[in-house]
Amino acid sequence: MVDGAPLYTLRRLFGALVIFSTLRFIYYGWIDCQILSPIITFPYEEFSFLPRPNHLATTLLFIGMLLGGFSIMTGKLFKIGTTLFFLCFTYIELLDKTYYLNHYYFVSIIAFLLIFTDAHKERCRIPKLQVNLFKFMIGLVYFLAGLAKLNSDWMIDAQPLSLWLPPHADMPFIGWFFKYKITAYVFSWGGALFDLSAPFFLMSNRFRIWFFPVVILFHLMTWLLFPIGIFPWVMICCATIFFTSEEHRKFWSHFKLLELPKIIGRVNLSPFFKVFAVCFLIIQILFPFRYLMYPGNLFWHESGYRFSWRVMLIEKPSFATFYIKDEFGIEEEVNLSDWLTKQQEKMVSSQPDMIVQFAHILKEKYLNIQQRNIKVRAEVWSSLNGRRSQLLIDPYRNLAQVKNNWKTRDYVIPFDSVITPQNYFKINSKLRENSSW
Amino acid sequence: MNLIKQFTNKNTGGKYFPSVFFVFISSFLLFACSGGGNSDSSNEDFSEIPSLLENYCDNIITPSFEEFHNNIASFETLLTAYSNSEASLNDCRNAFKDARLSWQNILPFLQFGPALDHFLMVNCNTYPTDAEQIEQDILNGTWIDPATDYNHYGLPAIEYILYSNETHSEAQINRLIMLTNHLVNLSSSVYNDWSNSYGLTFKSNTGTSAGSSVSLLVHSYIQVYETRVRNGKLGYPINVIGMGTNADLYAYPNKVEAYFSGYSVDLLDEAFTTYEDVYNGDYYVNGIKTEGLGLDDFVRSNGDEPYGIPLDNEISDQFSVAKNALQTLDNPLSSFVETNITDVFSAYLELQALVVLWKVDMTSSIGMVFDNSYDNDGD
Repeated sequence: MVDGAPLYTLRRLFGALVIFSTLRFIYYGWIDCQILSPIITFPYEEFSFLPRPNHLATTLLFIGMLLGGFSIMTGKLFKIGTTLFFLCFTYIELLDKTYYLNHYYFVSIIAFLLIFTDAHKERCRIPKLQVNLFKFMIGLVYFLAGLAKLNSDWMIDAQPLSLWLPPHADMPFIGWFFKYKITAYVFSWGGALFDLSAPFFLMSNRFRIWFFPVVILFHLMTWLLFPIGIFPWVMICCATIFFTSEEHRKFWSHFKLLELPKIIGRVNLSPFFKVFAVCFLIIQILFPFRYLMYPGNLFWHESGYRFSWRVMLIEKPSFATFYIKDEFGIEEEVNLSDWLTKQQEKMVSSQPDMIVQFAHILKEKYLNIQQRNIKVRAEVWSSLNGRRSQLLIDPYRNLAQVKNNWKTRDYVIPFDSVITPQNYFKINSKLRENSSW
Repeated sequence: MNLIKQFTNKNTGGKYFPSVFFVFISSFLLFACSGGGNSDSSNEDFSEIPSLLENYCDNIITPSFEEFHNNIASFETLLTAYSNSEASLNDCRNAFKDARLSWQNILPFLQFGPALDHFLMVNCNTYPTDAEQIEQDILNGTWIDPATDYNHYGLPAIEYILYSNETHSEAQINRLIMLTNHLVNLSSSVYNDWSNSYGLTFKSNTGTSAGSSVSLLVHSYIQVYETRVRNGKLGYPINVIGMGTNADLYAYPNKVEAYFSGYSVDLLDEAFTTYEDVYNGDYYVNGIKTEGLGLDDFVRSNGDEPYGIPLDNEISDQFSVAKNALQTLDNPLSSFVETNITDVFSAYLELQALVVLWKVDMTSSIGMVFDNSYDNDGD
């Protein structure tokens, strides 16, 4: 049994943040341009049974998120409210891969875990495991994010930071710093070191007090430099869980109305929670390593890239052209803007599974609308982390027949088989002759 | 033990925690007030964006629009002279060709700013032109501004009337003058916008984010190249869009530009040279090529990075490779596509290779941001 003050703080701040995040989402008009107006969406295959919400359903989902967020923040009707928030928020996130963000995933996880805790019983001592589960999860996020940075692009070439930092050279006070190559190295190595050591420094009673300002600085820096949304605030708030109960109580005592109440009761650890916590953590530890099942360059084929705390690791500008061919052999180029929003086009152009998914959608749409049975192929040029552009996927593969599953993506051209634009046009006819296109 | 530890902590950390939070909240407020303004950032490695824009605006874009306007206006004057038998048909045709060549020089700038506002591209150069409708227009003798039916207006319509007869009736000349006058008015508006207000807007809109002048220019440059140079001048006449292969080739002679006058390849060469010059930021003073700050300098400014000098070299190399491929083409293109379709296809492919280099490599090299309005933490 411990004083759950760190968890109460997390709950309060997290609730406030998700309300802020939801309002921000609405304020920016993203409901319309991300959820309602796109012609097609790219749901995760495993969740493609979820119907796409109409205007009313979307409004209800967002009301659910706000009410849920309010319930998390205040602790009133906590279990129902948190469940409501988790379901509404996750539903929206599952609608379109285009908008996948690691921190949305993180928000879903925290909300999910909160459901099973007693974070609302501010008058009780709670099982230590409840607090530790969050410490472990948050520490794991930092550590795995750090581990993911230990690759040659990040460490040896300081990419993609070498590409991202120089454009910030006109920032006031610190801008001059970004034009130097060495800065990208300092940030890359510093970032990796920070992520890897954060869990340990935060756990240490001795160093925490010195390290927390570093946490704040680090996240503020990322917030200033990158369009990273509310991620920095989420992480800063969550990292407070490592402070002791007394520190948390002291903090809240500065605000008369928000002071944590005196403890008068206790909640016992349920065996279910123990089992749940262990299973959850095992999955969380293993899942990000699923990429090891796939040969080749992870950043190139992106099998197992999502849901693995790989944050800001790749810059992959791409340019895709889709072609369809019907039974009569008539071949056409697909006008992407007829189907995709700008953001979708950007994501579809660089992520192999979305390329295949789009091919499937095209096949279905052409069959339903024009009664034409089509093949789909795509010519995709990608440039990974400052390398020159090369062909990403087999340009004469009928992608409408490729299955989007957990198997190795054999339609992705291996990263080390470089086909440059200048070469491609010389071998194009041969490639085509040797294909079934 | 635990209890003791917690107790110790209370004394050390306890008093710092609120102050740390104070730092956090005050820095949040500080950044919330001062931050956010960095969305329109320029590339410090290339601090010369203002000079680059100035070179493009003052030495390349505005003079090109001016020249096109002047050429089309002097063609109109000649037409009036021709109607009074004070100028020969040949003079008119030569002046018309000059105007058409100078049209090629403004291609890269047609899809943004004043030229886009005035729909200059479709008004001036929509082809194949509708001969039947033009004959009808001549008979009608009245002027109606084009709405969506651009295919009996503009340079191709003028060309049809000018080249399909060796002598011209009054009605035909009237139609020629009306068609030309429409272009004179449009080109004058576009030129005026560039030399006045829009030019200043263009030069002051620095940075490389979405909506910046660099980004507008590069978008337009690539888009017109794909649709009007690669496809319009070579792709459509051989039935290729995007990346086809030999198997799909089919000659459509009447889809070539300048079908009636037969100098399609001259126009293509001029357009391609324009693209190379614009990439290099070069311009002409009294016919002498002058080096200016261009996209090439911007690309090279990344030093010996993968996107720096090697990319510039590759783009330059591809320009010469494509230029050589264009050398194999002959006028009139309409008959050439029927006899040498594979040569045309090879030239087309070499033109296409540049698109990838520009669209992917060049835009990332110069740090162009297409649309950064969403959160993004993945890639």
